[in-house]
Amino acid sequence: MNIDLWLEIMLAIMGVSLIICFVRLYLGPNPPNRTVAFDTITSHAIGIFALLAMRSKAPALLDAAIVTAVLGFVGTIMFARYIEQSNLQDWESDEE
Amino acid sequence: MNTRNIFLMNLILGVVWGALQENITASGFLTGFVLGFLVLSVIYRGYAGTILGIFGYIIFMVWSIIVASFQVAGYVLSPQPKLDQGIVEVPLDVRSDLETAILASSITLTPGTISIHVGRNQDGERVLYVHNLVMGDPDEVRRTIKREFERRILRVTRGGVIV
Amino acid sequence: MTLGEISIVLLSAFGVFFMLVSAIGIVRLPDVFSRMHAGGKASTVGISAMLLAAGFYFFDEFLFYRMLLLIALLFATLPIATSAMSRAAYLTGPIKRKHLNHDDMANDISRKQPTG
Repeated sequence: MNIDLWLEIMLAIMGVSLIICFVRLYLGPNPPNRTVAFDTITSHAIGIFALLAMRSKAPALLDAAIVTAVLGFVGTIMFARYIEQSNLQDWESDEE
Repeated sequence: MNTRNIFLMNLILGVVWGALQENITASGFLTGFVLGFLVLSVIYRGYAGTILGIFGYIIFMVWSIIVASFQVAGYVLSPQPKLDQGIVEVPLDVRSDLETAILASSITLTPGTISIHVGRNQDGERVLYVHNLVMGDPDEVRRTIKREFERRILRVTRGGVIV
Repeated sequence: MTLGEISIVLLSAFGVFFMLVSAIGIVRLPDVFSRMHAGGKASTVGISAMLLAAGFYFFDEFLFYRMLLLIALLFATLPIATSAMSRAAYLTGPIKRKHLNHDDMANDISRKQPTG
């Protein structure tokens, strides 16, 4: 077994995992839940960048992972602040 | 001399040692840092204890977050997750912002707990609100957090250096 | 495959497993706080394992230290993001009260009362 084959298998699993995250982003049912999904999606993006850098032997892609980490943190904090400051109380409840 | 100044001196010693080698590498800096640490811990009593306490705390955190992930994996992959969630208030002994931030982040990274909010309860005490995945007795949760984290953090930050 | 490559694959597989756990967790678990447990902790370990594998793979000293710094950054920022999200969820979202068996935060006097 070649290491590249293993890395491709793991990239495929990460893709499936990312799709599962988008299911929560679609289902909602309210903005706090979608923010959790967004945070997990940025984590997945960093992981996919790391795997892709190993697969394509391009260490420059790890710099993209660093930028994604910082932007994901800023984005999550921004969403949390927005939800906290907004006075929308008529969101759907968490009922499944 | 407080601990921060001595640590700065240790960093400068490491940089100077690394710059005086044939090739400037990160391992040269690390060697200089370790040598400077040894010398400074002989000169200033208590410095070694503080730095080793910080390293021990980092190792403790890495270990506990791995345990936390396996616990979360167990709940996620079990067919019927048995959860008993609740929010508990923990009175704080730490005072400064840095200590509070380290305590809150540590609680979020350890098994079964997330820190939510630093506020005041009805008696006006400064408290940290902690969400538990599997709670049990609230007093037991409070005692565990104070024993496991707050005492370790206070030992490092208030330890001080005897000159 | 050499021993180094096997260890890289094992470390990445460890990370991928925890990322999958966090993705399944945010879909399966019943309410917003338990979803945060899954999304916050499991993904921190998962990313750290994958970045460490990338640092070993390229066999470059400075790249390895850069990955260690990135892991330190993630360990500093992800818990703060989780705390901010859970506070926002508690203060505004209509959370599912029947999952909270004990709530001390109801008698917090410092938080802003929602208006309108």
